[in-house]
Amino acid sequence: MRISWERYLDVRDVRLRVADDAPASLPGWRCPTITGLRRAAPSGAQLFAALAHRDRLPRHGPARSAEGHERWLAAAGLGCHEPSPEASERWARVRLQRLGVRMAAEARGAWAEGWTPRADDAVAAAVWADLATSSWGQRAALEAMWLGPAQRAFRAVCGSRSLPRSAVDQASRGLRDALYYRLVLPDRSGLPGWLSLATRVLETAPAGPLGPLLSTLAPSQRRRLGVCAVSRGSWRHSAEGLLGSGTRLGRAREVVDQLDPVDQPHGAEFLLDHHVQCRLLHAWSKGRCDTDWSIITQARGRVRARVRRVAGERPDAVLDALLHLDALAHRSESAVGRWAWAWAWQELGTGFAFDLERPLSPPCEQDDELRVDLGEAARAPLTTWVLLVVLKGRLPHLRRWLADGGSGDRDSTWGRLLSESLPPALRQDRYRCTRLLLAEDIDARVAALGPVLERLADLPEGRGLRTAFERELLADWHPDVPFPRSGFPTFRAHARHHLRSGS
Amino acid sequence: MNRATLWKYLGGGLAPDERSDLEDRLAHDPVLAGRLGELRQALDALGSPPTPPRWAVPPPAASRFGLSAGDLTMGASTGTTLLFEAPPQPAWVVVLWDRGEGWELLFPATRAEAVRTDELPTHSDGRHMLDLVLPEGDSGWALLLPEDLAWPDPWEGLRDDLFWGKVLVASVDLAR
Repeated sequence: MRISWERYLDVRDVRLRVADDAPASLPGWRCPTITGLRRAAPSGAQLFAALAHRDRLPRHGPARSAEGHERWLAAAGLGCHEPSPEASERWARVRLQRLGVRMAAEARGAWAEGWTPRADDAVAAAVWADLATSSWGQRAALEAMWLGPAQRAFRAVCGSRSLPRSAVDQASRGLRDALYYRLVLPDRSGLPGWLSLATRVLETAPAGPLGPLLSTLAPSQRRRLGVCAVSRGSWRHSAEGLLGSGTRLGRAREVVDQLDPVDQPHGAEFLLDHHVQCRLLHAWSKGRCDTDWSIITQARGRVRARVRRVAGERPDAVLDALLHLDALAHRSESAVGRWAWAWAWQELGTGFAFDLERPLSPPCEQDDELRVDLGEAARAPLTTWVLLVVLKGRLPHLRRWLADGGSGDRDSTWGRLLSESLPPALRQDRYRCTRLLLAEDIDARVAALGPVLERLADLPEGRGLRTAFERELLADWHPDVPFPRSGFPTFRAHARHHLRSGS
Repeated sequence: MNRATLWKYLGGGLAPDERSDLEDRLAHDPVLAGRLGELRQALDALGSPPTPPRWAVPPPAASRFGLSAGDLTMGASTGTTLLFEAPPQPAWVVVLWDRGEGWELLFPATRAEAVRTDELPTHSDGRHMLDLVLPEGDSGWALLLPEDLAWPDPWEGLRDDLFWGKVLVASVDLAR
């Protein structure tokens, strides 16, 4: 965007003021600003360019865009600012504001805008429907619309590698023959190629690029993405920073909630923005302060690729969403360029052999670790078991176990509650399902125990205590949980303590 | 802005966010715009896509029946044998080859030359055998098994059937 030097300095002043105000979330970002910005290590010249008072800057600049002014200021060597943690943090906040503006306009806005309805939209829709049924009826129309952009992408890849003309022609002919088959036939993972292209079209839908893809996902797919996000690569660290110190699957559950496009329409962007800020700070802390936009597009691109691949597992949902789009011909043609570019690079690596079984992006092999495959009958003893845990005074252990995966000590009573009192079905898979179930509703379960705990707490002391406990509990006690044979005075004390402490 | 990004832009491979960034730069950077112009000329010089009519032979990975090359023929350094599993009902045998310039009809050149699958010799494992002579270098071979050949000029119809997936076809890449 064209912007005068004077206007640029005004914008710069505003950013400095906002940086000093340090709001929880900076403009353009959908997440709170991450902590630790003092670790950024810009050079003295970069600090000066961003932080120096406008009186110390020239009255005129040679550039005409905000980006140009920024680059010129950083490269002109007009001065040097003394590095300090405070200056680094201020610099990072200014930088994040500048990037936030671009995040809103380009990283998000550029996807869903600028698509023009055309006369051949209906033809495009017919081609898509034909691809989904592999009926061969629209091959000629498909090639008429998409072969050109695909060949342009292939030729550009060949050109970027300075391949000889004969090789370019060979690649071009091979593409012409392979294009339809690539789209119609399944790859090694069983997904037909058109899904890889269709999901790229969906990225351009309103609320794109992530929202439209997430809308096609089934709950199990969202759960897999959630587990993936907290388990792999740098995302694992980003999730730990954002979602606290609970268990990995506990964090995954929070991510899954954020990925619900109905309840959390901006949840995915919230997570992604946080991850992007983490990646930026990682680069800044190593003094790499001039590759910001590459970091952003790369981080966002990887996430899009992963979500596209998972979304492609539901062809009906993808096709249905696709056929509801306007400007389908324009969107599809643009997506063909991006899809063919990726395909051409893959083919370049194999000498344009056109191995159609090779997936364009690797399949997602993440298990649905959040699935709970226990029926109602298997879950039924949990209420009784939780009551037993409370009566044995081990509710704090249970809560720690749910949050961290451990109890925090080697308490033998807690150990026996897990290994002996919990029915075998609930011990399977290293208690995975039990923990998932209880982590979701432990507070509600404990609260529901209030009336029975009050009755137990009021039981009179003496020889008849065991009988009184049996009278209160046995009717609803699940037979798969062993009924205790002793310790009833202690149980009563724990019930009283629990009610008093309100835990 | 590196050269690879400019190529990616020209090839339509940039995502909308990347494209928006580059177009903003191009609007204010004549040097960058000049570099892009040079690359655009180079891309245009790489030619436009070939136009039909053509033999729309699928790549080997999309073959509809098993086709492979046997060992070189005994005593000859240029010959080989194509081995293929034909469907039970007899079909005509049409051979195309590609020596780097696109697919061309090789066999049969005339109606008198045409043979059906049940006229070909068979290997001990039951596969049909077709001897051929390989040209120097890499070559592509395609075998079409149409049920009918409408002489005197069956080729336009066969090309159509091939394009629309109505004829059994398999291809293989060979090298000598």
